[in-house]
Amino acid sequence: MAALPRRIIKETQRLMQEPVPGISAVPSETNARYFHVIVTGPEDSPFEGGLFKLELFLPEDYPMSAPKVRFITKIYHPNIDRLGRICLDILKDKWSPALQIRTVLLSIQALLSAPNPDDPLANDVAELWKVNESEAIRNAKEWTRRYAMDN
Amino acid sequence: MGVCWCKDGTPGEIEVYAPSGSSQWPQIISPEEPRIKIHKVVDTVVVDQLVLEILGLIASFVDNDEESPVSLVKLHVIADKEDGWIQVVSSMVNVIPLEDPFGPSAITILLDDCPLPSKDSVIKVTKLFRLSSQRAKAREINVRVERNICVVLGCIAEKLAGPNSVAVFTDRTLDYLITFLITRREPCIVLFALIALEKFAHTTENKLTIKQRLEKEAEHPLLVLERYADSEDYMWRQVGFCAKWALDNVFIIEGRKLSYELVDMSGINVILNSQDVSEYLKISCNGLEARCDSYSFESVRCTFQVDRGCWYYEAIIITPGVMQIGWATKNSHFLNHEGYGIGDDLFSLSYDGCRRLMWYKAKPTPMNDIPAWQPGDVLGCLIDIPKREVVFSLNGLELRPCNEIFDTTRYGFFAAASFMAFQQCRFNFGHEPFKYPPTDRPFSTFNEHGQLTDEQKKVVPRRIYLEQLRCSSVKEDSCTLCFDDTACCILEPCGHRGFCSVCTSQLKECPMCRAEILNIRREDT
Repeated sequence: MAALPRRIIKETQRLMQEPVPGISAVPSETNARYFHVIVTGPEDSPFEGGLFKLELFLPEDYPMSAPKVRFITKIYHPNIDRLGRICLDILKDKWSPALQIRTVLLSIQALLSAPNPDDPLANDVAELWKVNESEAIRNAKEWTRRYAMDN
Repeated sequence: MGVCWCKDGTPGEIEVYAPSGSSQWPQIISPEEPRIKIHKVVDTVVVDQLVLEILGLIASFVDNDEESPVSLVKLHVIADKEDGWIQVVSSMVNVIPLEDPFGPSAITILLDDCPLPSKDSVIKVTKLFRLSSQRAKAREINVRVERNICVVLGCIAEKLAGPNSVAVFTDRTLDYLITFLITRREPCIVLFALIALEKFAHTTENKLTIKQRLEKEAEHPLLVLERYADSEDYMWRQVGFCAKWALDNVFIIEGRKLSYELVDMSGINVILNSQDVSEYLKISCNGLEARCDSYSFESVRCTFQVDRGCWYYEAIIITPGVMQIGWATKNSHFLNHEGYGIGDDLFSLSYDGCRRLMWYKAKPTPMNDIPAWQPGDVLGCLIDIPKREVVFSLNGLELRPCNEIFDTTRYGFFAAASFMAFQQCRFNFGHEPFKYPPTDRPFSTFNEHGQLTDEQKKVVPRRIYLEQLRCSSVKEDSCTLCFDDTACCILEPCGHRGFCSVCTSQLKECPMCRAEILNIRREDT
């Protein structure tokens, strides 16, 4: 492989030594640019109690370009589509090389606490979230129970 | 087209691998297993047709920016319902033909593109398959169906790594896969059973289960299988390659020497560069054979650079699928996850003998006058720098020369190749006689000019290399972006500091406050 940038080594070491509460990010044994991520659904959100699996990949020009992240666990959320793709500005045009894996994952956790139906990726979900928030939240809880909990 | 995709038709039950009118599919029903009922989303025949359509399309789908084909969109709609996803999986298992070189890749591509399945649907699918060691031992088996089931299990394992993978990986699934390794029946099933186990092992808990199970056998199945690594039967050779790789990288046996410590490297002076390769490519211990089992498009360059003169090497095709083999400079980037490889930029040129396309700048040129490559064929790759020509040949039959790459590049070429999922080939850089050496001009070989130290000849398993890296330390005054160089720059007018000159040269705005950068001042001036 192309020599691994120190930046990635450093971030990995720190993630291991000082993990972020509610988030686990473990690098793949064979690929230092690929992380298995598990985010706990935030308290007082419809995702509470769920464990959401994501994959995070650092592209060749990281940190000059953003990590690629997507949900592997199904989730009912206006900013996350059926393929698990996430609509989040810092993963796109608002990326800065000063951001890190940990800040990205914290932002995703925050997105779970505060869905933003005005900037939707999953249109049907966003629509319901706007016209009937309580039903949308019920759906989100139901999906969390069905797909994100190990019963 | 008169087909309504979302209509809830008459509720029905689908029988996996037993479409109507066919009795050739094995039915192994264990008494304790309740029959799984699936609500049909659409008619099975329709799904089967869509799957076959996609298979046909993948061969011609060469532009990543193209719109998704209609049949793929339709399949997505079906797979969006839980039972629809199961139907799509069942169809793939039933209809993807054994001989199609795109078969296994089509399964990975389709599953990767489909909406995410829930854990329940995945468990349902594995129950529907009625996996067991009996199934693998049945007197009559349908090779195609079993092969496809193994491919599907591998994809699911890759998608669900983590706690879900443990839940899905039942004793029966393990029994089913291991039985194929032990009975060594049908190399193509053994191969994909082994790959599926390797992917389940991405999750540590599964890895331990598999490792213990393998070691319980009187003779470790992988130790038996790795003996096929040099087989002239190309299907068994793949099995041997994967078994050896798994023993070196995943299922480590205490006391077994790693292959790179044993391999005889005398006379080999150029190999594939294990420091210049995308993450998932598997390289053999002698550095001359490579294989991809990931759904990304994996690439590698060799260790030897050519700048002038005329050079030739050969690639022996082991699998008939998509590989892009040719020449690349260091400016060519391996964007494996975007599907870009050798021949997909300004600085590389390649030939894909499966689709019969020459690749430069990600644009294909059809080469219809020669047949598609088959296992055992030899691709000759010649670069004549003074004449500005690259000439590919298949079994000695020359394709028309190409020269566009010389518009941008005159020197710094490496032998290089990219691999789609489940593809493998072997390189001859001149350490053994060529099969089809060019006869119309004098040429040199890498091996007579190359040089490698004993250290450079070691193809160390990636996990060992990564372990070494993770233990290395980082200086504290280093650049806060790359940690490679010393921080020495101040951004103006915002005044943020802590960046090196390499990083700042790539910035348009300050990483801390997003202010536009008008000037960069060095701290020492």
